[in-house]
Amino acid sequence: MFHGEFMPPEEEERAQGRAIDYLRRLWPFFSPYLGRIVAAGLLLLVSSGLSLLGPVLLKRAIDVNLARGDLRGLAVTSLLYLAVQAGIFAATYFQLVWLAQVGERGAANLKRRLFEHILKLPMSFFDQNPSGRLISRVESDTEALKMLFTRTSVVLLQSGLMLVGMSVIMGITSWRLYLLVAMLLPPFVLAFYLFQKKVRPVYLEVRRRVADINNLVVEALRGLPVIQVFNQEGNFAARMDRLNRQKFTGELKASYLWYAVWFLVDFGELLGIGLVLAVGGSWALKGALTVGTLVLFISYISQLFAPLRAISDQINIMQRAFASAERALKILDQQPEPAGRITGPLGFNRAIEFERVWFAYEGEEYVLRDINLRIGRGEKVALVGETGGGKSSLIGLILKFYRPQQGKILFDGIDLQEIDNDSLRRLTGFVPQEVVLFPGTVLDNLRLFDQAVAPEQVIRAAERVRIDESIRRFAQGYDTPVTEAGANLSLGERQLLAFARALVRDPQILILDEATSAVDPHTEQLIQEGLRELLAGRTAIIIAHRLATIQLVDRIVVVHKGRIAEQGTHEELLRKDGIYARFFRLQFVEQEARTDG
Amino acid sequence: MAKGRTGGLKLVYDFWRRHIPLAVLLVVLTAFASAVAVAFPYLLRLIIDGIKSEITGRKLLSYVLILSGFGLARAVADVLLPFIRGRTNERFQWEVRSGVFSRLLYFDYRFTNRFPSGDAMERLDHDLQELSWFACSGIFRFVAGALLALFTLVMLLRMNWLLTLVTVVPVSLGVFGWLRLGPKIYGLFMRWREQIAEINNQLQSAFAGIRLVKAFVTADGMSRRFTETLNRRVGLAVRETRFEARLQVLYMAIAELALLLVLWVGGGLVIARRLTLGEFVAFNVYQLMLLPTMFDIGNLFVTGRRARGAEERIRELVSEDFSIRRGAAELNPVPGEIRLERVTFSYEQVPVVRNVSMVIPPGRKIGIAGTVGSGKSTLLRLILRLMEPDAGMVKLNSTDIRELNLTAYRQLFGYAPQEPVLFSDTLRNNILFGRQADEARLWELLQLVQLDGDVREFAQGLDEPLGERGTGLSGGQKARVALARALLTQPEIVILDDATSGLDADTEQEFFARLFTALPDRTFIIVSHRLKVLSACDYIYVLDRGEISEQGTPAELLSRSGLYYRLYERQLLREELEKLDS
Ligand SMILES: Nc1ncnc2c1ncn2[C@@H]1O[C@H](COP(=O)(O)OP(=O)(O)OP(=O)(O)O)[C@@H](O)[C@H]1O
Ligand SMILES: Nc1ncnc2c1ncn2[C@@H]1O[C@H](COP(=O)(O)OP(=O)(O)OP(=O)(O)O)[C@@H](O)[C@H]1O
Ligand SMILES: [Mg+2]
Ligand SMILES: [Mg+2]
Repeated sequence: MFHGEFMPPEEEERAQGRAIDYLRRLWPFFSPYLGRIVAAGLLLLVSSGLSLLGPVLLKRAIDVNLARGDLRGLAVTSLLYLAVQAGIFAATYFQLVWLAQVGERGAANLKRRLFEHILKLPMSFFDQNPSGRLISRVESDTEALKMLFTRTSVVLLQSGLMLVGMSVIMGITSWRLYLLVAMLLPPFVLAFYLFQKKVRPVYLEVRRRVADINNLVVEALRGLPVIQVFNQEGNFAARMDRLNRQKFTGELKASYLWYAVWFLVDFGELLGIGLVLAVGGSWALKGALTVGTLVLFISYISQLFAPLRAISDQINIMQRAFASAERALKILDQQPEPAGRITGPLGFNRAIEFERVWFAYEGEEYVLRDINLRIGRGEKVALVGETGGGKSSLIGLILKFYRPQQGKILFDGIDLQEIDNDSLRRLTGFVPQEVVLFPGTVLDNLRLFDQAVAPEQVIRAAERVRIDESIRRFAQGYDTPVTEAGANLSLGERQLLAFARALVRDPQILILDEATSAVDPHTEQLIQEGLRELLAGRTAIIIAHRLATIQLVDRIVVVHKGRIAEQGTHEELLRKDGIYARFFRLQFVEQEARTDG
Repeated sequence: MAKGRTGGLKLVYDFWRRHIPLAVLLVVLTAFASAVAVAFPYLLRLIIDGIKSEITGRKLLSYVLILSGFGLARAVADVLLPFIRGRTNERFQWEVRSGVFSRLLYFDYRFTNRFPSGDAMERLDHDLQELSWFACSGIFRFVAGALLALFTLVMLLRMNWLLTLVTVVPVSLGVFGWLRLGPKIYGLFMRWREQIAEINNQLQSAFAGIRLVKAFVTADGMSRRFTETLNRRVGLAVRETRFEARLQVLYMAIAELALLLVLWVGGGLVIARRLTLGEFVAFNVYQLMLLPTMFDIGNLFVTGRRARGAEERIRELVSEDFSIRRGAAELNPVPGEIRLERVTFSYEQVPVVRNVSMVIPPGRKIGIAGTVGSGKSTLLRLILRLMEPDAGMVKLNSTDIRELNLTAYRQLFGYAPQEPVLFSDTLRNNILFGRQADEARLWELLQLVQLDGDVREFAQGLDEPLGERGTGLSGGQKARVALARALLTQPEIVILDDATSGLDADTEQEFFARLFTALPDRTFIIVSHRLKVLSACDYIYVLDRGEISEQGTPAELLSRSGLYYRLYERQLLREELEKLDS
């Protein structure tokens, strides 16, 4: 029911489309902050450029100032260095802050847009997408995109600049020594690339195991009584241990790869330093090279591998971010529920009419066939019939959750599709077959967090469905928190809450889908007596398995295998001796004979 | 170190007590790695000074080779240590998660009332990750940092005390600063995580309850709440980045200041010939090595505090023992008569079962009827010993069930709860549920619960995956899977908590008919709102607000005009029948 799913394992890891198209479509979420983006970019250039100067000054200090014993020169160099650093600090600070602001705001824009859009999508979309998946669309995918803007772009730019800058400076200082160092790089680039390719499926596997573990925790805690009654504690513990082991092995496998690369980098660094010292050192001995140059090369070599690795890491992250972008944008591409053009406060005056309505959730599998039905204003109609007959589906059409493939539904003579969804739904009070409770208090759930609804109004509704007295007996009355899936309430109490919630809105059309199936007949009886007066002049559509539930109604409609098999008053239908009469007899008549005899 | 004594970080402390050899290995390796790391700049210095004093090419080469050897050793240690640390972190995670989870499995409603499953999941995921990093990496990086700093200090002091001072001051400044500022980041981070939880919560509510959101036209209100939360989160995140950026710049400044000081003072010393150029370069390198340790050293306290928070959140799950106490006597139960004697029970001080006495003789069908929230399900849970009565007792064959072996006692029962519970696994495993049965028995069972036809239509039959990632079942189908699970072992006592209310009248009638034929001599305890089901029972108890208001055979109860009669008078629909007759 509630807290349904959790993060499903990652889906597609690679985007199918072109990166530039995604960027173009994502741009509007970030474009309000163009100024900041440009400024941050410039600052990035400045700070990267300046940071290259550090080792150059160090070289100058060694080769020029120290060699000549020039203390004043050293002071000048130091001051220069200080100035350069101050510039870097300022540039870094503002660049970090501005980009983070842009990233956060842009991601928030995208999240809001996605959320609002998803809520407007048709019900069929939700049938296909479990809520866990939608959550990761709104939350994780946008976060991945934020990282793309705030981190990946920075790292790529910075690392690229560093590489180029270092190469240029080393080349100018001693191109021969630089060639020596440069020869080392290609194998490493290749190694990084191979590493990424290998480690990606391993991480995917680990993420799947984490999802499995989380799933197991949630399922086990929800099903705890069942696990205990069936003595399955040991089995579940063993299952957890197995998953933990699998996660452990996966992590180990990833870290083998990880440290192999790490080792490679250390090794490369060593190789570079060794080479520079051996070859460059011999040149220096011959006087072909200064010691300052050697020091400069050594300090660059240890900085050379970091950007290389960063770039290859970010390319991987980038691919994943584009896959995220694709998923998020696909959702924005979905057509929202078609909203009718007739808006504004609506009245219900004459009737809802079904004219030869056919409906299928998927393809040609019709669950409603050729439905003709008229529900007049002020009428109370019951829908009865076998499980899976199509009763809930019929209600779904009235609420415009779905639209029929053939035929028409008329609302006061107007095609239902022309009427604005929200205006129509505001007329109704709906109790769905499955109780939905939100985390919050009993009161929150009754008024759906709408502070504008006065508590008195809520209490009146609760009194009507005979739940007020029970609520007052709870530890904190109306402020009692509803625990997960309403587990601290009895099932009947949960149903009555959902019922009361529909009445709080004082609806013109009341739609009850098995609203009292877990409620005892006595309480139900009391509720119906209360409803009789409330429903005077209003319309009601009531689905029930228990025939006792439907005494209020003027007319009974039997929905059988997607068709309306018969309709009429209780007496008419009994006299007809059809499906309804058989149902009725099954439930009561036999019984009657036994207890009387 | 702060562990152990204060009672905090007990999980970490216990872990290391179980793994003493590993701890020793790590200490030795860490010391070795630090020593090698410290030797490296020293060799570098020898080479540079050598070049300055124009040593021979051969000598230079041998220096370089030695240097390379040390470098290789360092590289190995550099890889081996983090690898072992990472492995240990994971090992810790595994042990703690399995350990905590297997305890939770024995807890009763007091736990689930307090911790939503998502919350528990979160704690066993993110909090545990946080803690597990600290458990090994946090501690041993501190050790490594401290040792490195110590060795470096010795090396530096041997070269020049003035320059040592100049080197150490900024680093100490860094450690001190991190100690002051680190916790602030933690505070921001925690608040930020709360916002994320809140956002997830709102998303989950909206998407899982979409029917309600649409029917009640609350999308706008939801969007508004969502936007407010988002704005709060942006504000917080921006504040966090500003703080972090400031910190980052501060640390860059400290590092640069340190380098500059060495350059400046060291340069002066070189010019004054009180320091060789090689020593000067070595100082530079040592300094670069020393700088990162200021985080590792400070981190023990910063992440230590975070780890302690995380540890508390994990231990909170098991801090109170919510499990059913296993009996001291552990007697083996023999099926027979169950008797409730003046049983009283409250959930969180709200009494829901009061002074209930009942007799459930073997081989009889006992019905329980009652109003909404009158305590029927609670009573069944007490019989199953899913929780303990506050007063009174449940007896089996005149023995208090608390003295019986709990596992053996529960094996007597088959139970279908009011709402079917399914797990994401195959249909077969959901029915078998850890027990054994052959194919024929399963199909016999499917027939009994009238699910055989449905299963034949499933693409994978009994191996159809259910739940989260599997296909969905209709409410009626789920109910029948739960019934099959309850009946698999032909248990002595069958408890059905309104488990057939999702079925239509036809199916329900047929089910009970088949059930009573299949298990003729078993005991049944059946909660139902349907007269038809109740009248098939031998004896009925009627509950009202936690008390037994009536009891008797179905016929007796109908002839009295008590609650039972009132409950079911409408179902009898006498007038209607009379009308039909006339
Ligand atoms: N979201 C959906 N997607 C696809 N098929 C669906 C969906 N909801 C219902 N169905 C199918 O449509 C048919 C009619 O279902 P519906 O829920 O309308 O029956 P019902 O009469 O309300 O049954 P019940 O009494 O069990 O509630 C069933 O075969 C069901 O499996
Ligand atoms: N885990 C819980 N924590 C706190 N209160 C609870 C919990 N479970 C049930 N209650 C309360 O105890 C009372 C009895 O609940 P119980 O589920 O036993 O009723 P019931 O007779 O089975 O009702 P129903 O006919 O609706 O199933 C109810 O008022 C309910 O709110
Ligand atoms: Mg339905
Ligand atoms: Mg119950």
